[in-house]
Amino acid sequence: MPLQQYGEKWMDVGGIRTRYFEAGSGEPVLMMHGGTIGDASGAANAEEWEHNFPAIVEAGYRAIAVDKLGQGYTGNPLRDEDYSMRGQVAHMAQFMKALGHSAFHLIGHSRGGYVACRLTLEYPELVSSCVIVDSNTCAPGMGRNEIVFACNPHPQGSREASKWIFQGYSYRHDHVTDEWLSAVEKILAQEKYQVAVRKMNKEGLADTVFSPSLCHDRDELFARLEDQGLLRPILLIWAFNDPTATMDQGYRLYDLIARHQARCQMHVVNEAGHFSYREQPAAFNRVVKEFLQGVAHGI
Amino acid sequence: MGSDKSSAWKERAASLRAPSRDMGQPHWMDVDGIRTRYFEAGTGEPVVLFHGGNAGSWLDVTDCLCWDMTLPPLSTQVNCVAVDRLGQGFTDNPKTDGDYTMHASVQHAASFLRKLGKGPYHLVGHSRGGYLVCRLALEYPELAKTCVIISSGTLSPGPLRNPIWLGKPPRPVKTRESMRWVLQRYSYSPRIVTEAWLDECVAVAESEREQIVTRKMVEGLDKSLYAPELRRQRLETQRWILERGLPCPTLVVWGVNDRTADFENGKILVEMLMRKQPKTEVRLFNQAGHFVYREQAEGFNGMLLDYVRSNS
Repeated sequence: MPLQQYGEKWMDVGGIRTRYFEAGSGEPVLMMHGGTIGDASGAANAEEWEHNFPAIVEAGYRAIAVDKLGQGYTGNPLRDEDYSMRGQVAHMAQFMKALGHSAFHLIGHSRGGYVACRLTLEYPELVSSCVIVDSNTCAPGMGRNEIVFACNPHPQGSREASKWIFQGYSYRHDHVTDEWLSAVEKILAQEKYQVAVRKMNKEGLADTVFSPSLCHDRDELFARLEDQGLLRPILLIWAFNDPTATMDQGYRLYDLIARHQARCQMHVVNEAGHFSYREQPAAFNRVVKEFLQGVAHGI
Repeated sequence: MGSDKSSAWKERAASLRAPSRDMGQPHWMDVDGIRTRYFEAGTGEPVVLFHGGNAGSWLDVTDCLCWDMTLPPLSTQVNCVAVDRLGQGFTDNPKTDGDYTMHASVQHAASFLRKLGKGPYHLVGHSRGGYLVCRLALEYPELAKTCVIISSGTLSPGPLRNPIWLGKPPRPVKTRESMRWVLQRYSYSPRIVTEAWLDECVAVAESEREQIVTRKMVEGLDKSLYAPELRRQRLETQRWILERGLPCPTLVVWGVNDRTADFENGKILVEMLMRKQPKTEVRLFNQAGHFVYREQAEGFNGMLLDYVRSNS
């Protein structure tokens, strides 16, 4: 069921026009997609949560899915230095404060899992619990993206190029629907999106800002997880057949977080690639609901 | 709708958080001439719990009372059964020396389930009981609706660490203090080894049946029959998992602080199970040793109930 049925909402977050979806009532559950700002073909956005958002609403929560800074329909960073995960974390924290709820359950996929983890570390007062899904950005070790996506045979930014990427991430291909690809096409066609693509690639911010700051911040994240840990209940959800974020990375992240956080669980699903929440939505939704309800009762 | 679900959950969570440890009165069933003890409570989806260990262990005793933090809370939502396996707890010993095998324990479990007559079941097995439920699902797929395998070093490839961690128990063995040491070594937190649990262990250890089975095993049947037969069947089971896979949705559960059934071995088991059974899932719990369903009882019970419901 497409998220559009809930109606888009917009908020000015520190001068950034930010798109999000919101429905239901109860404790807020904030869902953060993955992907990288300025990705010329594989544009990620909040509508990827279409199979999960309704289940969260039905379970008695206020579901919120947002486009991260510079991605989807949310505006681009105002400063070059914010073309970074750091910039996206700061934007997300501002967005949460502006929404004004006391604390959020976070669900973050891939690079959004890094944002979720970072928010839990830096702003525990804003966070009730944290679900990290298939995030090699957030896990020790190397992801395999460079290998899997080494030779996209299709023209950059084309529908075929996007399809090739999403299928490459996946175990099953049937979740890579025409509707999804059309939504991505529309995102890529925006002028603001093409500005981000140009700044990251032609103007080099990917190499001079994004990459060095993430390299530094990941090291710092792992050091802090090792030293002090996270203060909120954590659930890791990992797909057994993720070609990019490996099982080994998932287990290593679990070991790291479990050192300091007793309330840390991990759930692995089979026959799913990077988009476990789209490829195995029934198991994903069941496990998330069980986790959230457990959190409320100290489990 | 949301608030109804939420209040139903709260009631359920309250019952999980303050679990009654009362298993109720034992039931008895004649299973092919073997008097078999089991506990049963609740109505709904049939969930059967199989404990670990083996008949006549030199070191410790294991029986279905290890589920006293599982069966009572689960039975508020489902029909829950916990049974003493062949030659363990208060179930009779094998009738012939030839039945001092893991194979006979599996066949006894299968006969018990058939006679209970409520199949197919959600089969939940811990440790060697995890091997047992896997074997049941492979040999008698009509009995298995789902398979929940908990911390089973027996089923996993790779060496068991029991001889390392449990090799030098306080003597004499199978006394209260010796078994306390064993159970604490199995566990992440020594606090889960309750006096009530030890009471049951002592009662079993001192029973005439246990003395007989232990003597038979220690004096020869373990080395001559039980161990070699299990080694052979374990390899066979692992081959079947690789070639055919389990016939039903499978959930693997592990406590990551398990010293004896190390999850390093479990990871390999997971890879094997994932190959042929699409609906294979894994759940890890933190701060839990071998008895993960006791050390993380609330989380485990909530997870199992949701899993059973979604596969009912």
